[in-house]
Amino acid sequence: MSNDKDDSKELPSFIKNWNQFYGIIIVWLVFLIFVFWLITIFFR
Amino acid sequence: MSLIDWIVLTVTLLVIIGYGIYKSRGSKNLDQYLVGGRSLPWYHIGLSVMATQASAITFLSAPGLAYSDGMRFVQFYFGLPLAMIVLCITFVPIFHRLKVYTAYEYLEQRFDLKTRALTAVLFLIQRGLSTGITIYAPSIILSVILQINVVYTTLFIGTLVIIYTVWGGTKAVSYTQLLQMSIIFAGMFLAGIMVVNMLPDGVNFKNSLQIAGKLGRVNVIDWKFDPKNQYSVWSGLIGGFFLQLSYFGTDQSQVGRYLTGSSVGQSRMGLLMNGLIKIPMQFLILLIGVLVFAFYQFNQPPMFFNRNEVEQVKKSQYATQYNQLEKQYSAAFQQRKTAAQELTQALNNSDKDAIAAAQNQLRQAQANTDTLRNRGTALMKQNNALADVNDTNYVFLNFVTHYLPRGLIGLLIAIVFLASMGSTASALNSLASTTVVDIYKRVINKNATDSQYVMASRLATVFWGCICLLMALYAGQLGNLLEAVNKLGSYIYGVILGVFVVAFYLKSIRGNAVFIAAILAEAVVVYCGYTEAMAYLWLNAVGCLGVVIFALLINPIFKQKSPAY
Repeated sequence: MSNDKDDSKELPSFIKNWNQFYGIIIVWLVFLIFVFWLITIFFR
Repeated sequence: MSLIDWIVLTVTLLVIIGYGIYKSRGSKNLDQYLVGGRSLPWYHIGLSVMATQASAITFLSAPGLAYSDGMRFVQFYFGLPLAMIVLCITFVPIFHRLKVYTAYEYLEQRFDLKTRALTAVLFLIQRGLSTGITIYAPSIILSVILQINVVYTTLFIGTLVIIYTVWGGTKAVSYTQLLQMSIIFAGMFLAGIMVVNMLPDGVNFKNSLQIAGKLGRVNVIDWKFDPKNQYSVWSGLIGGFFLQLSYFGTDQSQVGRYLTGSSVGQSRMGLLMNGLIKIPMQFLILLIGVLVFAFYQFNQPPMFFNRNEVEQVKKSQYATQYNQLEKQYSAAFQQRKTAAQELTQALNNSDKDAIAAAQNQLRQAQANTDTLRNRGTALMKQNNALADVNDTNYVFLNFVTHYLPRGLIGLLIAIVFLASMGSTASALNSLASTTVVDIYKRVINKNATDSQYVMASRLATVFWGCICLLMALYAGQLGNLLEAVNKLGSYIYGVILGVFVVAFYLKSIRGNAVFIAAILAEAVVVYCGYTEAMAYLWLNAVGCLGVVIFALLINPIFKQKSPAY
């Protein structure tokens, strides 16, 4: 993955670099799918 | 609608358009007019990207879809966050570094003029045709709900968009979208709260989801792999990934949004914001539809939501039969309501046997009402073979106009107008950019002044606005062609994406190979689509992979024939 150092200073302070941000997006997606799966099972 | 609703609707629209025009004053050179002077911050880009994708139909169809088919549609967006990451890594830095106005400009630098022209023309055809539908679809729904002639609603939406897009260019589009999305979020949130508040006594939020779930409406996740199933985790992740990547990476209406970023970082942040918010937003819109479904278990809905079609059949020889069906439907609804009340009571008492019995009773009652409804739509078809028997788009607005308080109705109708205008404005702006930058400036008049190009962009916006408006005015008479236009995107996006993937990642492949590969891949996509070999989401993957594979196979032939490469 790209790690563009020039614009990483524009990131919010709690995110170190772009790769970490991309990781957060993937974790968020997995989390959403997991929550939706739980909702599907719970309200079946 | 009451006077207060009309006031809310008018003031909301005027304030937003006025704000967009005010903020875009001084867009006098081409850079400012087409890419907003590349000065906008990330939250602007994020909201603009979302407003461009979310047409009025998103806010009308999605709740209706959840009402009739459940929440599985949300899986369609699972590929979007992954596509945003690939865009941030590859597309955004390249487009920014080359300071392009359109995505297709890059293809000439990488390949040749004919590849640039092919992709630009494919885009103009696809976007030019589909934008007419973007105006027409909400216009027809609003005309039925507000009981105004469709010509007026179409002209109203189309003319307003043309005025502010021509006046302020990209900046006007972006600034209006900023406010549009804020109002859309607020309005939908209020609508959701109102539905929950209007549930009968003794039925809470959890109960409503349980009832909807027992009737198969909380079917968010489907793990089964089936290429013909449009909405599953896999079609969303894989097919959806290719669709979203092609849409955001190669459709100028989206590329034009993030080219307005003041830096690579701002554009990336805007896209990643979209990646974070889009799925929860779509989930919440579908949730509103499910809550409306639960609401209608206790309050009688019309047998069919599209009032126009009902009026047609009631004027025909089938009127007596239809009226009879409506009476039976009312009786069947009362049985369903009783079953829903019993299920709620059983759920609140946590009585497993009672829950199972009430669930069966409710499912049977639901099946009875569905059967009567189907018999009603069959009568509509017998009366008029071209009758629109899909009333999904009318469910939510019907609920809004019949049950929500004054003022909020005006706001939610404004949301439909705003959503339609937001996506149409981006489309017109991108059609003008591509026409001027990729055709007029590149082929017809290379040496004009900056102000002449701005004037050409304004004229191109008016030209495309008129084409789309005409298309929207005559869309009702297009019949099956309308459906074909809706599918056109899936036939074209994958191939254009394939050309970009080859451009970015396969450096040895040249213009002739990719040009022929694109034509061959398009033929394969059309064949797969025509024979219905797979659900349409997969056509994007086939188109993209087709271009890559054909280009790899063809490239050696051109290398041998043309040693100059």
